Amino acid sequence: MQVLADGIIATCAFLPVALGFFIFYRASGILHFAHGALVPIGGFAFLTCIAALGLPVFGAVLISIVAAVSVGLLIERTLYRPLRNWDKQGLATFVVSFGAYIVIVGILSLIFGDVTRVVPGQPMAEGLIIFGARASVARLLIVGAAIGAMLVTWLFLHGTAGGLYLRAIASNAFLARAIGVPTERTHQWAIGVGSALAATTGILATFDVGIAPNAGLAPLLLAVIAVFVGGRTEFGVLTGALIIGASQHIATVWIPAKWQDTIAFILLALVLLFRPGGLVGRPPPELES
Amino acid sequence: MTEYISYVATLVVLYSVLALSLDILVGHLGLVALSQAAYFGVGGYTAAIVTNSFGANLPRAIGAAVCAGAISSLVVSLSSLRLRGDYFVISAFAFQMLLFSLFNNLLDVTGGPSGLSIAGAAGRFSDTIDSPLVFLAIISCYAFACIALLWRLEASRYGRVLHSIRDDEILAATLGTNTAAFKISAFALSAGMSAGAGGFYALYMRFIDPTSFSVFESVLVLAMVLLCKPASLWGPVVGATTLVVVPELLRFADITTAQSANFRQIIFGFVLITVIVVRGPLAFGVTSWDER
Repeated sequence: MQVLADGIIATCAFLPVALGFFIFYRASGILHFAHGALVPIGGFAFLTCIAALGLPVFGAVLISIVAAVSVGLLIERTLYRPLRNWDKQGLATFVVSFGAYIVIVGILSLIFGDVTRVVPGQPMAEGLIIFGARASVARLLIVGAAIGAMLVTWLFLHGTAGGLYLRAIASNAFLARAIGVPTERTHQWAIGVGSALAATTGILATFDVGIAPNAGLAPLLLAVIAVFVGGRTEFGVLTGALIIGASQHIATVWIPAKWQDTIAFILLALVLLFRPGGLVGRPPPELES
Repeated sequence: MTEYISYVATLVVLYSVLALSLDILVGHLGLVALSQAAYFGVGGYTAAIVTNSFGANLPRAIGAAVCAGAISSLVVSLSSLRLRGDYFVISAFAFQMLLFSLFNNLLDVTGGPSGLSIAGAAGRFSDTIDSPLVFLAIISCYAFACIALLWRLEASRYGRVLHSIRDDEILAATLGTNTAAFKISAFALSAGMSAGAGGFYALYMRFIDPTSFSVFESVLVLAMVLLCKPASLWGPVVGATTLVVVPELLRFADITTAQSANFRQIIFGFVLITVIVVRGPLAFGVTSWDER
């Protein structure tokens, strides 16, 4: 039971990052690696507001989300948009995105140092027993945030005009542009929602395992794996995330925990080789030949 | 001081080979792969292990490294036959991450995070030749051999076929080119060259650990290729020299080691971003960038 609970919590810890990555990937086809850098931006902005400025929690959450969203929008505007004209498949953009990740993480370590920080006083570390499994309040919040992120993603994609545009662009970018779907604005919406989701993960991490400048890398890698293993719908991502989170933790029963990354990447390699479209849903059009 | 200068010079030569070998894929074949540090690592660990366990001398250790690197490249090259665009990028990336976690976790073979050292005089030509300068000369010979090979390659039919695959793979296949064979051999060549450099790196440093072979090293090598002019002989060499020497200058600035490591990362990332955003497709050595 504890193993299962740990697996679910591990899944929930990176699910918002995965959904945020997925929304922008679906809209633009860009492997938005810099997404991982928005996690520590959210976390450090939150810590600065709480510890240095003494703001109330609600205001601090709002400010950190705004900070992450502005950085996301800035990246889209200054780095991705100039490349869209010539880099149709997003390969050069992926390299640029990786560069942006490295620069942001480097700047964060220059400012805050390389140590892991948590919210002073650890207000939510006490444990609870639920259905025979142990979990802290912070981890319950993480589960709640993951469910919330799933809802936000679903509502954004299926309940707003931006989501409708996004799905139109994902199904055929050229036709969507031809009938007047605002591509630029949709990309901005997608990266904005995605950045907000990444920031929540960073904020919650400050209550649980703490935040360091490179804290976004692990969830981002798992997010990429979840998107490619699961498939290109929000339920595909959920399935992929659950498979990754569960397999990593269930596997620790038999093999040492240090092999978790290896397992995840072997899973990714197998899916890419045998079912490149992902496990859930139809493969994307460019793979149907 | 001589010791330090020869150390920096050795790094310049080794990274030049790495950048030249990645340029076969990026510049000549037109595939962006973030896996070069993995081959570098395969070569390094192979050379270290055959030296430690079997007492191999330097040429044999390097030969084993080159072979191991070329064979390991099959994973990525075979996947490049099936996967296009971001699927290929992700598969090369997964290979890099997978090998890094193997370097990090196979404690019995690689020593894991605490690294692997090469004992005694093993792996030298002889006991008398062990000064860093002599080693630098040997590594330079290897680098010149690589450059000569690439120079011949560029002028030959093989190089022109690679360019035709880069510019239009479907057209090249229609004209009767066995694109799969050319891709696989180009990958093997690139990975073998990198792995050879990795072998020299291990034998020169006498100690290796996984941090030298992480995905960030792959990004660094890519930045070296893109900095000046891909698909040329001098471009990757100038790029490698710049990106090795400039961060070394930080050692003389009045900052802590951790800070200078951060500055290095920021410089590499900034170079990548600026070069691609400012120069567009030219950064990859092509004027148009359609079928990728």
